[in-house]
Amino acid sequence: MLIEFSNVSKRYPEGHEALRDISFVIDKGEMVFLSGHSGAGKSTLLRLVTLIEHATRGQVIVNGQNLGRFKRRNIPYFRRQIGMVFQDHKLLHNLSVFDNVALPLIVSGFHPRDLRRRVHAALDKVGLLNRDRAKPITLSGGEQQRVGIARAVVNRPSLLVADEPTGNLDAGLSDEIFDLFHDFNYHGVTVLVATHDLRHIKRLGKRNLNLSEGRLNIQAEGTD
Amino acid sequence: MFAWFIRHLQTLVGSLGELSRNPFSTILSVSVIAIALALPGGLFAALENINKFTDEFEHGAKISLFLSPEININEAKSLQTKLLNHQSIKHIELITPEQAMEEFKSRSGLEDALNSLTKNPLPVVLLAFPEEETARSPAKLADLINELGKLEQVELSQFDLEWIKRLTALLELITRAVWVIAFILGLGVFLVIGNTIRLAITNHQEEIRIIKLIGGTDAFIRRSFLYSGMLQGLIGGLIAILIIFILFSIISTPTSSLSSMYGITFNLDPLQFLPSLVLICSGALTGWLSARVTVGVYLRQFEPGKSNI
Repeated sequence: MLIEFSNVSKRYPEGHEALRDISFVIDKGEMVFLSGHSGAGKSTLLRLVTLIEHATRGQVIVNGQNLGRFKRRNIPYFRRQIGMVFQDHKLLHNLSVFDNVALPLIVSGFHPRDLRRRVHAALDKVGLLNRDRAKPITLSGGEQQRVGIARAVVNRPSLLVADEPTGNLDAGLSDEIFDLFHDFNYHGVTVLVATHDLRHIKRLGKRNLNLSEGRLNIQAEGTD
Repeated sequence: MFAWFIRHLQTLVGSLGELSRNPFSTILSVSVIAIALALPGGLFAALENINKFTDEFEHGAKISLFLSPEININEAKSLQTKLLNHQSIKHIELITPEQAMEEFKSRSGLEDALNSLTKNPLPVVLLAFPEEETARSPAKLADLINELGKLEQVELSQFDLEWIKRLTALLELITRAVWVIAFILGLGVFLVIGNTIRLAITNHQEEIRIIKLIGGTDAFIRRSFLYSGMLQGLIGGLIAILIIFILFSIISTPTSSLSSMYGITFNLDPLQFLPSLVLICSGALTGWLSARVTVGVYLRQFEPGKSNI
């Protein structure tokens, strides 16, 4: 398996208990939805997977690595194995679309010779190959999110994590984005997507982890 | 290795682009750095020139030995030969009373009055030029003057020693003051660059968080700020050299004409190549160090977990 949570709890310093005693397993190559109302703990769970936060109790294992004993200086190398997609895209607005997508390769010291080919392949995948010179600000919301997805997959990560990737998009664009995730999953990438949009969960027929008030709802699991 | 080089080159170009994107603040901070570096640099160059001047003076330092009136030319000549063997004396000139009288007449403008004298009252004078080592040390010079003064043929041995002593002491003081000023202004450069880097970090905190999220190491993020600090120091140093050069060419002509009025040929040298290089390098080094310290302090504040993602 790729992700394993064992009795994980997360309490923030200000006292809010975001996750309570969560246990689940996600296998390699699976696509899993994470649903629940806002404040249910979806984002916190993703932050534990990406080492933005540490669990207060319990054990989180990702890609065979126990995240409980991670040295700060090793975190960047861990994050390079994960592609992350955010609701607000988190693009760098002073860089072109091409440079935004190239950034994960640049920070990991990718050889410049192969960089262009890799970036173009990722942009081609999300259908934005002709916009590589544009600045993100000139793109529509849906296009910006697709740039964010191209950036997340350019490093060919084994795990793709998305936090409300379609939160700001209308239904048609949302479908396109989820179809992209579905396609990556089809090609072997493990995908974990947090969304409150139950429509996609039903449409794609994938496993759903439903959170409410920091607890995992066992009944909701395995809707397919 | 190649990839490493390309990466550094990219960061360097990126930092240059970053500096040119904010031309006003860049010009402002680089100017402050340039002025802060030009002041000690200029003072240092001025000091070098004063040292060169006093070196020339010391090189021409001579002790005047006024011989007793009863000593005639031949006796004076034998004393000259004897003193030439003295280890502290490089060279001796003899001035006859007649030569002295001619010079006195032409310089004083009292030709008529002097012509009315029936007998030349001036003594034979020996001019002793000390060896350089002796000329540089006021103590050794004083010993030599004393020694020569005790010779029975010598009535008076004269050298304006106090003047040299005071000048040397004063130069020593000024040199130290220049170093203190250089240190304080260097600290100023350090703080100015630190402040611009701090502002740059604050302005780029969102980018820093994003780069951390996609797996950028602290070293990667640090690099562009280090280049930025180093470039500011480097450009500041170059402008400082330019300022010193312009300042010196402005005062060069009046200095030459002033010194020629005193019968001295003195040309003002701008900052030499090596001190210029040192100035530019210390500017760049200060910038780098300052950025290193600032980034070390501020970078940890912008962890992705500390914002709402």
